Amino acid sequence: MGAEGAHIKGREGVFMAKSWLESTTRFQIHFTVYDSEAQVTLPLADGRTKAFDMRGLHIQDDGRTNRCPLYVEVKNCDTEGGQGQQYEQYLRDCYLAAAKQRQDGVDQETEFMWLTWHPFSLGKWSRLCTEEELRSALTSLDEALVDEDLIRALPARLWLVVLSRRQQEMTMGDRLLGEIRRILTAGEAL
Amino acid sequence: MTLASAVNEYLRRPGDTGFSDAKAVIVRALKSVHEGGDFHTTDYFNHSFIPDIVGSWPTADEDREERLFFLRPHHHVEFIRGDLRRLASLRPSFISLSEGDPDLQEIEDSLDAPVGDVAITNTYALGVLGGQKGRLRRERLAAALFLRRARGIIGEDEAKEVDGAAVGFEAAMGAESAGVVESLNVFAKFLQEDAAAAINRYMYYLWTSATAAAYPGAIPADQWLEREEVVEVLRYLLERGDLENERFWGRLGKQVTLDELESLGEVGPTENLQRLMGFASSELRTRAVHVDRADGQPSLELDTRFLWSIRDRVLQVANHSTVLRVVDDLRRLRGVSEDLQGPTMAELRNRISGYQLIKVALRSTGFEADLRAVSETPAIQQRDLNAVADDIDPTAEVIRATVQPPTVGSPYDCDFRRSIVQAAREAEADEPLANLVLAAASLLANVTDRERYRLREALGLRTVGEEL
Repeated sequence: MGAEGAHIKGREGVFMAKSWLESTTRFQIHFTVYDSEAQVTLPLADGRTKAFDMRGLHIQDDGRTNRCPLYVEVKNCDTEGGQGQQYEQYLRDCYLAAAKQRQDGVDQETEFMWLTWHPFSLGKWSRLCTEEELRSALTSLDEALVDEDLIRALPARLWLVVLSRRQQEMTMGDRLLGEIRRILTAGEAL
Repeated sequence: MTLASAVNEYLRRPGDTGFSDAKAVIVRALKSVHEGGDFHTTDYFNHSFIPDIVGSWPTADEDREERLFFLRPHHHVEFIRGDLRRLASLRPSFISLSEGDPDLQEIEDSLDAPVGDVAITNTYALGVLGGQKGRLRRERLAAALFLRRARGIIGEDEAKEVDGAAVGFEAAMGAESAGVVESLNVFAKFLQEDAAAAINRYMYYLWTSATAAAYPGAIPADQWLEREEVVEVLRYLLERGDLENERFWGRLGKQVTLDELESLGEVGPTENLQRLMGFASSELRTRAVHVDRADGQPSLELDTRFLWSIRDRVLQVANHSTVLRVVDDLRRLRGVSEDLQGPTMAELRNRISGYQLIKVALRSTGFEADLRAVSETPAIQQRDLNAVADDIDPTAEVIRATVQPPTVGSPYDCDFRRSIVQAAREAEADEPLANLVLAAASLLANVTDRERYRLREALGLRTVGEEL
């Protein structure tokens, strides 16, 4: 697949991920990297920046009182590809982004999601969102950037999701989503 | 600063408040395109299936029509395809907020199927349709319809095309076939079918008001405009530049209703409104007129021209010192004094020459009588009633009176405490507006029989059933 093809596939993946996440009614995706890279980019504690694919909110059950910022990495893959290595770098960037927020005193308990269509690193799949795996991703980190409290807290803010190509068939259809839309646009509480 | 840059400045702000500020900017832009629309924002931004803004406006059947506006930071073909698949049946409008959008034509070429009744547009198009102050009414009318019912992919150039097509209304009034046809073609391209049909009905309405020549467009199956459409056309006609075409205003004056005029909400004393009211005042029907005297003087200043206007949904005719408000329902009047001084019995007798006093109520004595009942002559004759009235203390303050006008129609109840004249309750039909206005000026503002002709001139009225 050429660069343009990969680009189109990437955009299709982001669109599918966005519409699926929003159809759960528990996520709102405000920007994608295709809208504005600046809007999905976070500064990292080591001075770099990281552009995610999407930025939005994770909404708690009451819908209003707790809306955590959410950054999503989307992998529209048909194979494992290089996801294992990319995920390790992603974990490190998530940690550094959260660390930067703590340093700046603006820690909003941002959540991070890796959303793919193909699983990877199956030998340690069940551990990919654990403290152990995070520590492993941070082994070469400058000691000044290590925050033990954050290392313990961050795994609870990590999401790892594998979507099916038939994911849309597992969500509410247009009729039911239309009812939700009717309620929400009328300003009624759910 | 363009609308897009203003919006994006807010979007670049950290946190979520930037969304609501950006949406407020868009709502103001939408409002400038369609003043009569209500727009409310949701808590969502750039959502897959929940709109950012819901626009609504009244329709002829008292219901409200809605359009959902989905804001998109950018238009991407892949995203538009999904949006269309999921939302096309709602006939929404997708508005790109991008400061540098890709060519919309490229998007159109990339789509597999036509977008149907969906509008895919951007802030630059909104800017064209609502941005400039002093826009002519014809353009605002076209823009409002466009906002409600646009379809297709519409960028800045297409919006300019729609804006330009609004001259078709002028062409219709000037009976210029080519201009009408050209305009209809543009509207047919960019408006949903039923909205394009409505434009055709506007054109037909204007064309047939202006000329008996054959209409150059397709003669609409339903030639009658819906109420809201009439209101839109009236607003356009009244606020446009002067149109000196007596025949046009004469025909329109026979069609317009008080309800339609009131629905305009606010119209200044334009020359076109004076022209329309010159004809419509003898055709319109109403129940009551309130006279508001600013200076408290006993007689009207008739040397100053009275001008018609519409304020807060009330039709009124006023000069510098006096306002006469015309209403079907007294509850519509606000800020009416409740305990004004009434005329003495002697003053009332001076005012009602030409009228027949048939009921009277006095403040101090509590006297209240139907003069017909106390008349010695069973037949109601003015001479006999006058004789009864002569027996009443001439210095007593009159707070209410009922008179029979010299015109055809029902008696009028005068409430001097509130300065209101209304058709007597038992009246089956509402009164000709001109008659009631004239009666109110005569009875409440002390215009004598001799001055009434001058008043009629000053008001530009043609009363019904009265020999001039």
